[in-house]
Amino acid sequence: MTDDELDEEMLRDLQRRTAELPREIAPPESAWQRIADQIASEPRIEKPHRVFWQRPTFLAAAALLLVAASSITTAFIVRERLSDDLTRSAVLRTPSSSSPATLAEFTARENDYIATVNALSAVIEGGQVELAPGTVEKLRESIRIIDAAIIEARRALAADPSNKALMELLSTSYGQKVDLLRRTAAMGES
Amino acid sequence: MTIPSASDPEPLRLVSRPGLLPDVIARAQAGDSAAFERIYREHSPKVYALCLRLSGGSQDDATDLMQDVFIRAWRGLKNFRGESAFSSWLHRLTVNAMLERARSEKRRSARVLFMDDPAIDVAAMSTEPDTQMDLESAIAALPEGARVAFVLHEIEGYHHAEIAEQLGVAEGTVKAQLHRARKLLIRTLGR
Repeated sequence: MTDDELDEEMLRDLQRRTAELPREIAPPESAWQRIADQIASEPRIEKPHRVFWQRPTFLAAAALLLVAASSITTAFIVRERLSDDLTRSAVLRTPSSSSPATLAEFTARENDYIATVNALSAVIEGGQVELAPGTVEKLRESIRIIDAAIIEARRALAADPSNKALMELLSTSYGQKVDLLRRTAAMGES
Repeated sequence: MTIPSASDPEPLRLVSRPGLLPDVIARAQAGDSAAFERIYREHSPKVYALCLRLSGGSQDDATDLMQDVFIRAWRGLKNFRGESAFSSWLHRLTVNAMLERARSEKRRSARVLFMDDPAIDVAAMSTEPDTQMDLESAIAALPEGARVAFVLHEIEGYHHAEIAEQLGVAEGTVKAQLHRARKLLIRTLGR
């Protein structure tokens, strides 16, 4: 075996061993506390530079956009699979559809939505559902629009926690996302 | 989800930033420390592993660096716009924090550090060539420039050009440091 061959072999061995190294290592449990203390001493002051969400026109437009986005996608999905998929029993329970009265109520409901979205996403991304490329594009675009609306409304709600219209808009956004995901996931059950 | 056409090779991801829902980041951006803790719980093992390796295996230094990174993340979250994956943004913060420390240490101790450190001969590694050594320890014992290049390229998977950009050095420098790291490691680990 030549020196070059030896080097090659050693290099491959090094790369193999390196690839086996863990990419994650748990930090000391106490590490979070210093971070928590530090950020608690640095209250974030948000500049009131954007108050457009408080305008009824913004809320109406956002709601319309959401409805349009998910409706278009739903139409694509339905057209692709004209079966009774969409009327089958729900994959997962839907959080209550009534309007939340308080921030605490909304937060509890939001956690339900997040859990449902996570579970449905896992089902869809798990390889059980087949969709045409055009439908996938529409679905992806709708999710992007809904996520953008959620982010924007969530920021707005953080700045104005008692704004019931925002809670309602967020609930609608989450509901649209859950509905869209459920319809998609249900196609994998047929 | 199986996508039945080669015209759409990109897998469908329904969560726009893998691992975290957008609203968790948005909540943290709005000042929700509970949401930020959730981000910390999800990302800290990866950040800590990187810090530990960049810090040469010192747990205290790694913990300190990681805490600094997350405090910077908290302060800078409002600037995160989602153009890149959150984990990439955090990764860049980590490398920047490490670089700042290295520069500050260099100023304090006047010792020559990092990518410009003089060539350290393979023989300068303290271990005997045939001594078996744990790979993590061997990486930790590398000269800093070689270690950073090795960790970012071989473990974190960054390209030479990306590392060069992050470190502010020429791509050739990164390649040279990487070559040096490999030779040192092969020598240190023995056969």
